[in-house]
Amino acid sequence: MKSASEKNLFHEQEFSIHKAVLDQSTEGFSLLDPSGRYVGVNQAFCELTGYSESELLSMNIIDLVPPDRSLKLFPKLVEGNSGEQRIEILRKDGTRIYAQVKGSSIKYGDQTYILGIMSDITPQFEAEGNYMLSEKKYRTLFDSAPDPIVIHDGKTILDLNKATLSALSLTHKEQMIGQHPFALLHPDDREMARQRMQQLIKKREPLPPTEIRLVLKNNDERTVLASPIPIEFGNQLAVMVYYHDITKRKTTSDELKSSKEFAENIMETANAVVVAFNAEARVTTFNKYAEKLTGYSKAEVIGKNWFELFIPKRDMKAMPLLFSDVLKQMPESSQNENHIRLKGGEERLISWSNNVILASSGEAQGVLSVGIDITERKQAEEALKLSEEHYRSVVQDQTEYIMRYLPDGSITFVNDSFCRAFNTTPEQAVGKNITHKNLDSEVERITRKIEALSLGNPIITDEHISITPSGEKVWHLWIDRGIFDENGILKEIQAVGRDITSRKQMEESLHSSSTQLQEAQRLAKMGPYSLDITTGMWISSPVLSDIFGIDEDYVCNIEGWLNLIYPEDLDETRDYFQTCVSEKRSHFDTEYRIVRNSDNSERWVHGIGEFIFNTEGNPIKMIGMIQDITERKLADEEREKALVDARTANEVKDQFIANISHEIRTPLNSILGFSDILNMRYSDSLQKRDENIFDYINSASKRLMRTVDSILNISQLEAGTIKVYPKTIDLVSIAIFVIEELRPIAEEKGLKIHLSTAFKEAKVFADEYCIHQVLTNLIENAIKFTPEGSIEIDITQRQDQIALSVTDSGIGISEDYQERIFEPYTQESEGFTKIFQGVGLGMALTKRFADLNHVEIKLKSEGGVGTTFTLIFPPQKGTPHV
Amino acid sequence: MSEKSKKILIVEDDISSQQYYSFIFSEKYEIRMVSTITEAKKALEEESFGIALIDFSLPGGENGLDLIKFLRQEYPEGDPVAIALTAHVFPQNQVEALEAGAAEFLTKPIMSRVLLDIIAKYI
Repeated sequence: MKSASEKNLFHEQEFSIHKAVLDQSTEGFSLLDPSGRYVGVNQAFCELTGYSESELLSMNIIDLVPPDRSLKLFPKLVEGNSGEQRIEILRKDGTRIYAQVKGSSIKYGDQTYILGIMSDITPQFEAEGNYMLSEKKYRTLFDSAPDPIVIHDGKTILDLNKATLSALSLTHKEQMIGQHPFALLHPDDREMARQRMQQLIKKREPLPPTEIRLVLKNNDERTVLASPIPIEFGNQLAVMVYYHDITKRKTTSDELKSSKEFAENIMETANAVVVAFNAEARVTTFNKYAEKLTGYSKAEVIGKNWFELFIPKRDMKAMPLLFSDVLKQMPESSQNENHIRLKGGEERLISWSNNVILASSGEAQGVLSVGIDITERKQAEEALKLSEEHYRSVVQDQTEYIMRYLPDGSITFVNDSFCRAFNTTPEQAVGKNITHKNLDSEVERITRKIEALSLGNPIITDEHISITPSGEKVWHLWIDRGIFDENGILKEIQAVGRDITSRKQMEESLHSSSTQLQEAQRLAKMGPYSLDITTGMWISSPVLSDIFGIDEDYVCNIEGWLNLIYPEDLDETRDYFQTCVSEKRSHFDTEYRIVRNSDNSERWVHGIGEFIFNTEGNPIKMIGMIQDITERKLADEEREKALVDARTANEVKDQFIANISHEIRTPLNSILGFSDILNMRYSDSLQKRDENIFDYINSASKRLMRTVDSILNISQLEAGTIKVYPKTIDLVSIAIFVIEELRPIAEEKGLKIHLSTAFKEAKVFADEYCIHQVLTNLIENAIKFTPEGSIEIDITQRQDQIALSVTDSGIGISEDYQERIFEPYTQESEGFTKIFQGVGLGMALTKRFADLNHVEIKLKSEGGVGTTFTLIFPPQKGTPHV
Repeated sequence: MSEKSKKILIVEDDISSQQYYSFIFSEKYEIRMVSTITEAKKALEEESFGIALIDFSLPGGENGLDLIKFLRQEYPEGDPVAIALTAHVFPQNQVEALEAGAAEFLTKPIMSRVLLDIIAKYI
């Protein structure tokens, strides 16, 4: 505590939980250091003393003690005792108040402080004093004649009554009180009065009346009969003198009565319990406040035993003893606290001031007690003590690190948890600077933090990495709270820290996964949205806003969405959406074009959404994604175009091949026709070596034709444009036709070709052209790859299947090539070295034509031995095959 | 009804084919050779024919198939008989020709004996 005198400790955090109690209490709370300096005051204390908070915090307790009084309670409190006392306070305006003060010492930090709780008992005090006085006066006057009365101690006038005032033509007692009692006496009578006074003090009994002359201010001289009576007045022996104006005798009974009423009135209206008991502890007086507090009426209480009625059972033994002690010892005034039981059963704690009422004989006649309800005060006091303890345990038992430091960085407090975390002890840490390397190395950051603290911004939170003594990196969260004095000057900082490493790691992983998600959305150009169908408002996302080219000012309602749609796609998209809503569909899925708001570019988007329905089944919400598919759409378009191009190219190619076929066949028509005619007319006249010329022309021309046909066929087969017209056909006659067609070629090579079948007809269901092509290819192939020997064609029936096989005695087909034989444009030997003619289409065509007619082809081949191709035709249901 | 005409209308635009047909038919048949549909229709109006031998690919907007359809529409009784003779050799060409009303579908190249045999079937 650097300069505690300027700071109100009650503003500190640990008192703040009881701030309400402190602020609202009508009792003055004050905290003093052992030197008597005020370090904490509440508002009520300021009001009681008349000083401001800042004035009090620079004052000492002694400043509030009237010059004629001295400090009694405070030194005891400093010694560690607690106690209570009735004191007088000198207010700022010079007036005095009577206060009941209870004090105790408390520990705060390393320091001991004195906590004082003060209540103003001035009205009570006055009531009490007046009552006692008037009781005595009353009793005395009752015994003596009712005339002007003056009480004095032989030196000064202590009191006087109204009769005196009126007799002296005065208006205020103060004009007389404090003056010498003999001042008004005629100078010749003064010595006599002095002697009678000494006599009275000596005898301590009333003297017989004597005539005395008074001189009034107007020099009017009066002769009165004076009857002095010795009395106890404020713990001192005094003389009450009863005067009887012989000239103007009048009764003072009325005055006396009013005097009594005045006293009783004060008693009744006092803001304190006023109770009087006789020696048997029976209640003789019970004021209005007491009625209000206890719930008993005066009538219910008067004459009853106080203990039986008000004292809780647990105190029934102690209280009567205390009462009898009070009576016996007859102290001027004594204090005690005890609980009283109210009519409703509730208990209140009352602080009493007890005064013994003396009989004129000097014996104790009873007790007058004035009490203040201190239940709430006591509770506040307890709570305050409790809060202190609580604070201490909270601070020390915290798993959070707690540290206090001054604005210059020097540490004033650390808790156990802090010590554990930073491997230090309070002894090591306190006094060190917060920037000490073991605690935190970031001097600049701490400095900035301290600078940033202000009354308007008293709390600063920051997260940073700290290195633990073991070298581990940990995340700490620190909440630094600035503690300020009333001038707004930063006095101290309380820092509460916590290890948030695991939270931080989680945050980081969450952040990275959410970043990844957003990054993925960005890459996919896929922006989520959520539409409230009831309001028509939708919430965009960063990626969607990017796709639409809209910013946060864009009005995201249905109209706003429709405005983005490319005009040509607007009607269809809007109708689709409205249909989805009206038909209560669950999905929305469509593609449409938009005009990007930011750059007016045309973009394709794919919008998908899921509808959410209320309990009535009406769609209320739609959530989904909108993806920018412009690139995909462009690629689609290009692919579509490429496909069209390819198809066109294919068609052009097919047409071209068809044209080639047509253009080759057309001239061949006349070439073959004329050569045939020549052959018929002139073959007989040709020389031996020339007789085959026409066959050569015929054969060569037909090969040319078949090549063109093959190319045309494969092209049509691969494009799928060829059409088949299956019907029941006779396999035998087709086989004979093909064999006869090819026989010249076979015989030219010296090969025998032979059809062997048991049937005259073999009916199959297939396309004639296709089967013709298949047989032509198979037999032509057999001829081609058979250097010598024969070609056998067999037509057989196995169960209900007709099979046709073409067997040659040729070179055979390697196993490797058997796998590829039906692929187009292949031959077993390729390139310039290839041995055989042809474009390599024959087997591919055969396979495809066979497939088109559901005809199975089997291949069996052995190198050097020969090859057999077998065609297996599907069964022809219901029709006889042969 | 007059006696069936033995005259052959040949619709063929390829010169070498025209020469070939003229050569093989001239000994036995009277022929009229035209190379367009328009000429063919004109000839049909002018005289009657027993057979119309029609190529598919012909100059002008229409082809041999259209002419076959025309013949079957205008001469439903069957005279002249329409015989398709074409270098378009695929099954679908054959189907189209027969559906249009051709009595025969022949493909080029064609041997003179085959052609004469078929012609003989109809006149």
